[in-house]
Amino acid sequence: MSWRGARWLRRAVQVASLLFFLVLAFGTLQRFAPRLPADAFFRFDPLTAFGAMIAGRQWLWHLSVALIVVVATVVLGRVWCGWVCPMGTVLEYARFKKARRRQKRLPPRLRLTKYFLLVMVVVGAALGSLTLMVLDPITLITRSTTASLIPGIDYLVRAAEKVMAHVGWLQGAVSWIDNSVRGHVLPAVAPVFSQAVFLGLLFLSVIALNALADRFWCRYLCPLGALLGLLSKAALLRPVIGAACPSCSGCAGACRLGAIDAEGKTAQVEPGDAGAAASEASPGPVYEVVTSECTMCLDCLVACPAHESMRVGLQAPAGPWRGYDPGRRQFLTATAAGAGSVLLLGAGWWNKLQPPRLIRPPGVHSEGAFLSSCVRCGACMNVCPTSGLQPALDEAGLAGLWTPQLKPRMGYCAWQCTSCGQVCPTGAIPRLHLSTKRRDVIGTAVIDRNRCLPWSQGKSCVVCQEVCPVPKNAIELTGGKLVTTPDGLAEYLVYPNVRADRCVGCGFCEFSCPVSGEAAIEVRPASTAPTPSKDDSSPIGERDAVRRA
Amino acid sequence: MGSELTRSEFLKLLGITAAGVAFLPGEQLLGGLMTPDEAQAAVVSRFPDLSVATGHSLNANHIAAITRAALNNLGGMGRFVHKGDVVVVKPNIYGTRVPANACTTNPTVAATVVRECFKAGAKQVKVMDYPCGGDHVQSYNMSGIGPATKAAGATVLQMSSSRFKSYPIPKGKRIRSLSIYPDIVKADVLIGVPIAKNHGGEQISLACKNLMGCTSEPGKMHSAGTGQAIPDLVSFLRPDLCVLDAIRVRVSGGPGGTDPGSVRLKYTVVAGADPIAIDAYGAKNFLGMNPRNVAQLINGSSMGLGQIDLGKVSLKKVSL
Repeated sequence: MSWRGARWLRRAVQVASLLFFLVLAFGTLQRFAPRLPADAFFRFDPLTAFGAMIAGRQWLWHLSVALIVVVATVVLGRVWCGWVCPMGTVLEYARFKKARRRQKRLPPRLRLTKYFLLVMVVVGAALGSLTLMVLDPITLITRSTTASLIPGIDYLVRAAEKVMAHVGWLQGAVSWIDNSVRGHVLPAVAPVFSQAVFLGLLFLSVIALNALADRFWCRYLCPLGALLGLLSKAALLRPVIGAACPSCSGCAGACRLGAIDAEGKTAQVEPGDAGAAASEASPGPVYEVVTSECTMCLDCLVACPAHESMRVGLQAPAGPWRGYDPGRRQFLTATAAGAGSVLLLGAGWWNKLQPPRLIRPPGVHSEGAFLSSCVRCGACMNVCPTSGLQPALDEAGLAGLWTPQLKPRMGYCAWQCTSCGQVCPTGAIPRLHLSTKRRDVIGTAVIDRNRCLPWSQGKSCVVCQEVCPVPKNAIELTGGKLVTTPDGLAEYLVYPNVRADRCVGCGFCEFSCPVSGEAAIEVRPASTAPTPSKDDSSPIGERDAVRRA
Repeated sequence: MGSELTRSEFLKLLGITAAGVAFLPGEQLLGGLMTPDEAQAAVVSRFPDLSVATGHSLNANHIAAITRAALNNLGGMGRFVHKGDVVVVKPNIYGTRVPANACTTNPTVAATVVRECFKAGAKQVKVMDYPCGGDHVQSYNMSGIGPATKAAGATVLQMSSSRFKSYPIPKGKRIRSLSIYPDIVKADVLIGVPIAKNHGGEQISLACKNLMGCTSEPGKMHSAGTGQAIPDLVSFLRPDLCVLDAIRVRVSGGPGGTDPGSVRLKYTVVAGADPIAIDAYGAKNFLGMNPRNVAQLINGSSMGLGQIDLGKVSLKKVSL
């Protein structure tokens, strides 16, 4: 196969991977029992996989397939970045004309940033904090798809439907969308995320950085790219430039990562050709491919006019350390920064005070252990059928940024659903049997009698009781009596009360309460403190346990 | 206006004609004199107000037979559905509950009603509900009503939130306007197929309460007080026929309870055109309540929506 053919194969793999990502996102959207493996990409992402294992102090067998990517990188280089990563694919094809010119002015040392971030992420994980995992490209694209892309598409379709509903002959189309598309491809319940615009803009900013350099994120920022880059220092295979190089700079111009050093420092000749190269003594500079930056995209091989001068060959020994590779000083600084960030993220009001309105997904009872295993990907929020799981901003403290929390006014924890635990890539939300989940207390509802319609205005309303799914209803009705209103109408009055011993905190009552604005019944963290579990071994977890004790 | 007939004049005329016709003897003679509608009105008197059919088993074929018996004793579906009609069958699909929970209409009862509509010549039968909170797809499937009525040939629709329209409720005392799904308002025939269950706040959930699933603004009705809001809705959206599923009856913990202890097996289907009468019957016989103590029935009866006094309701009972 020619290099051109190989490049087409790569593009096909890239597009297929991105499509697979989208199929997973749309195919598990708001499903009670998602049949597709929503965590597929996380199983192969070594940063989240091993980060979660380090932070959680446990070996997660289902994530050990990430070793495949590690091995592949050691053999083939950063093929993940060039062939598989959906984020990388988006960034590869979102191109700006002027980027080519601008990227030359960016200092090469900027590439250090990603190593810096990687060390911070790893040090954070070692100290039990996964907050910085928000920088992982797979969590980034999953979170953005969940909270912005899909709600955006859904909003557009709903807006179009609203217009179409006024046009007689389009009724059929509206009906078709609602009956055949909704609940299958599009969500049945409009997904609404409080941070949709914010997260969408963040994602767009990452793309907009491409205006400064091609694949800016992958070159300078991506901690996963940095990890794979370090591994591919020792990659066995890489593009090698032979002695027949005409020094045209075609390869360097084609490389989107700027991985080909065209400044021609030392002629690095592949071992096999060593003798021949030396004897021929090529006149021009011989370029060099920096393996830690190379994504094995093969563009250089296609661009090379002298086909015999460039090929994929064995690399031995490992590539040399570059000026923009991390040195001891950078490593130490990053380590200190990582440790410092954990301290800073951990220091806040939430140390002294249990977050007053934080409701975690079912099965999550140790806040510390949860923060040490949640990679902030947002897959649970995508699958949540009511869109009740929302990304936290500061509700769980800064350390809990973008972790899932139940916001019952936005959506409740559905009685027949265990999806969040099924899709969680790290088991931060445990996989619960439905019968266990139904008994799992995540909070307790509280009625505000000053706002409740029957209590405050003498109106008959027990929507909370109507929707309560607990077998022996957790809303107890008292004082039922038939009354006559001042205007002579009959009304049956009855007053709702929460039976805290039955309430599991699903929040269906808060979601459905007809009182405008804040509900007259609200879910608070469970009024009985759960006992800290035994696996609560991380530093934050211990702190958490002490706080509760 | 001028010499044209106004609606009120037309109605008066119609009343006088009907009264006059009523004095005329003999059915053959009537058949020759009356318009089809009037002939039907006269035929009504031959049938009971309510028809009650009771069986003895949860077998699906048997439940279908109970439903058919209840409809046949009322004069058959042909009384309500005519050739070419577009029919809306409105079951109670409370939410994600299975039939054994007795929170949602029995799927066999709903499917049998759909089949009878087609037998009577209906062009299309639409089945829909607006489950209180949650996912249409899941609720339709779990209740079994979606698959069962689809198999019977019905068009099972999800109510699109974009298509609800606000309608004025001219006779409403508390509710003056309400957002209702247009397909239901425009249908030639509306058949309510509720399940008999108790309701913590509204006392009963039968034919009248079932209509709350036609609006996207239940909160507005709750804020207005459902004791009057439900009759207000009935005054606008009165079903042509109600088929009350009392195969399984939820006697407490309603409308959404899941404890099996409060489900009673009654194996009964009640059919009738008067939603107040059918609710009065259901409240008394299945839920053990005096209809005169149920707010929605008191207000409904005082609005003239139907007969609350069961002594004045003619019954035909049959046991299978």
